Amino acid sequence: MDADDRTREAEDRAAREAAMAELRSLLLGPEQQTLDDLRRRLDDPALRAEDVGAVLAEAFAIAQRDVHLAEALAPTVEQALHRSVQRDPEPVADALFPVMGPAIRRAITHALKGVMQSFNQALEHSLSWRSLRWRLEAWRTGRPFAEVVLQHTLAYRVEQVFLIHRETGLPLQHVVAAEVPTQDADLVSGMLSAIQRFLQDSFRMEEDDRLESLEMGDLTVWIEPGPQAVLACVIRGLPPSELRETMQEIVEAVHRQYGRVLAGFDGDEETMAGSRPLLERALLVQYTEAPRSGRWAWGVLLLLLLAGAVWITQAVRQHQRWDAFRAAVAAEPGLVLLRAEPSGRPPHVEGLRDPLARDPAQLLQAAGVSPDGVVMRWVPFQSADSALVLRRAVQVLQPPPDVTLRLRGTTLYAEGEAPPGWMASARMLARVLPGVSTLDTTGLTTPAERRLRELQARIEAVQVRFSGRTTRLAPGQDAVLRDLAEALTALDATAREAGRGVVVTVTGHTDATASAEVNRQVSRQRAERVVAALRRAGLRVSNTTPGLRIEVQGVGADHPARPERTPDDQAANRRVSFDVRFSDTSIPH
Amino acid sequence: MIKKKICMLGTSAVGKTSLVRRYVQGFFSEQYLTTIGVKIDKKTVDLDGQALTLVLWDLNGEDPFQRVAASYLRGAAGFLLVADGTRRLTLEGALRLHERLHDALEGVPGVLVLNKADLTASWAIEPARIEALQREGWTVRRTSAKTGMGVEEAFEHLARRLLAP
Ligand SMILES: Nc1nc2c(ncn2[C@@H]2O[C@H](COP(=O)(O)OP(=O)(O)OP(=O)(O)O)[C@@H](O)[C@H]2O)c(=O)[nH]1
Ligand SMILES: [Mg+2]
Repeated sequence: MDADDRTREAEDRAAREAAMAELRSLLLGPEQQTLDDLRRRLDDPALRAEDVGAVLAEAFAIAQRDVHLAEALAPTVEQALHRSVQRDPEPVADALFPVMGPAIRRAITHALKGVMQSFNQALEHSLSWRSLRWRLEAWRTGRPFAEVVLQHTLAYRVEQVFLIHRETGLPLQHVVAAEVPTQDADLVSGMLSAIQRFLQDSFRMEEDDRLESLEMGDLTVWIEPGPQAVLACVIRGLPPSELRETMQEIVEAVHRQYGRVLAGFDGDEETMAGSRPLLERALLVQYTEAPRSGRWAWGVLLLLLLAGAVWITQAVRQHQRWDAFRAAVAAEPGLVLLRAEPSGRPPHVEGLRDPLARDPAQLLQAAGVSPDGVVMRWVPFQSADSALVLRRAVQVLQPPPDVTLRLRGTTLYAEGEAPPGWMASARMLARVLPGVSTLDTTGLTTPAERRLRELQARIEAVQVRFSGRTTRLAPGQDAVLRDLAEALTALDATAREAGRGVVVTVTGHTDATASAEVNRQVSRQRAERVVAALRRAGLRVSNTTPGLRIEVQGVGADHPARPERTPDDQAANRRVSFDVRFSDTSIPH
Repeated sequence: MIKKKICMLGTSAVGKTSLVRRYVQGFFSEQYLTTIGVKIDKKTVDLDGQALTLVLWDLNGEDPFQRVAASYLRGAAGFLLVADGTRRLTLEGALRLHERLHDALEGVPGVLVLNKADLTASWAIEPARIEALQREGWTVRRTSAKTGMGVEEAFEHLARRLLAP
């Protein structure tokens, strides 16, 4: 073929193409335009997405009638959910929250109810008279106690629920009530369906005539057939007709939810695992005596709570008592607490105790804890605590009742009246007292010294009066002088007895009317007059040391009893006064 | 766990019950065999890490009315067709039985078991007959329920066929 031929051929083809195009446009006319549009749309992904988007919702709605869409979508949705949770669990958690809360609450309520019910039963069975009777019955008949109880109290109980694949007789799912011995689901399912078939064969029943119930002793098997699965409940006791309805509902639900799984069941029980909760709905139980909504149990629970509260209060109070005891011991001189174990068995206390300290058992009792049963071990020691030092001093020195001892620093002060002999021995003993460096006895007097002081006061209180400006004693002074003479005589005797020297100064006074010279003479004469009168009244003075010595002086108007404004004042200043001085200064003034 | 229903088939006294007894731990009393014509046992086998439970339906041999309940076979995933190797008639009976149950057993894998292999002196099945059966497509196993010979293998062979696609 030469070049011309080829050119001609190409021309021919072009012409044919043009003719075809024209033919198409003649035949299809405006549709051609539409076709071109469509092709463009199909080629353009953006436009295609737009088109699909517009019908997606409707497409889903249609496809939903078939389960295939759900199946096809499931992996994608699962994956999307998984990713979402991985990225941020919060949105999913938020979405689930309203569902989870009630579900968890319901589960807890359910569990609690179960617990209360069995608690209640346990109580009734262990506490009541009736239970004793049943125990006796169990013992007599040789049956287990649980069985006797069940026989008396159980109306019925669904013990096992089998969901059996009708075709193969294999168990699809099997649930068992708590505390019921399980049977082999494979074998029971097989036997049940074998029995079913045996009956059908033997009595030439129709396929739809099904065995509905089997009875053996107090066990009943109720069978509820479905197109692909059979539900069988093993029941102890007499089941109510409502159970049948529940069973029908379960069978229906199983077929609704697992229809496809059942149709293609290949013996893999995993595929039916989700049906357990459905079956569990048939695990019903009813007692002849309803568990009284746990009134018993609540009562006992309340009691237990109360007992608990009491116990806690007791424990707290006991704790407080022991704290009080610890504080008391800490505050008590001469006690040192080393260990206190209130919760020990037996409770015990250890510490140091000065023999002079208070009895710790008393403190324990005072704190409200009975010392009985508390083991106490106190190691003796000598406390340097001032209270104890003082107590020890009292114990060692044994002061007479009128003496009080005080401790300041390490100096022990003795105050009051004590016989001289005691004082002497106290001074010696004090030197060996732990915690005492010196004994201060300046606050001590002897009985004799007290007497001396009394006499001193009595004597110094006396004023002797005179008639006018004379040196004659005023009338009616005899009694005063007799009394004075007696006091002075006693003073002399007591001073000698106590080994003390006493000087009584008899001082004469005048008013200020005369001259000082006259006054001095008159005052001196007045004093001498009084001494002479005293001697007449019976005064005898030893004039020795120890003993009483009398000195006489006249001071004129130098020491008036009171300022002179009236004649009365002057009269009061015309007098003789007495002054008692002990020569030993150890007697405080 | 995968579970499969297996049926024991064969004429009377060929050793079906004995084979099952040898293979499994019994559960139900054999009383059931006479009352309802079937006894259920089970055995879980481990096939290369895959657990499979065989639920064995031991059917009574042909009853006097020559009526094996086809309904018992429904849902069976496999069967053991048992014959007594010392009695040739039982093999023919087993095959006739299989033929009769054709509708129920269509497409269901099975193993032909020639039992009582311990009784070698009275063995009645010639090797040629066995070869012929194998050519027909039968898997043939010789067993002895008495000694245990070949029993596990026969069941296990069937089990493997059940799991194979
Ligand atoms: N020697 C020997 N005897 C066997 C063997 N298997 C079964 N038998 C005996 O054969 C007899 C029948 O055995 P079964 O197992 O009851 O036979 P079956 O097939 O179950 O019989 P049916 O239930 O009546 O159909 C019994 O006496 C068994 O002891 C075997 O392998 N060797
Ligand atoms: Mg038998």
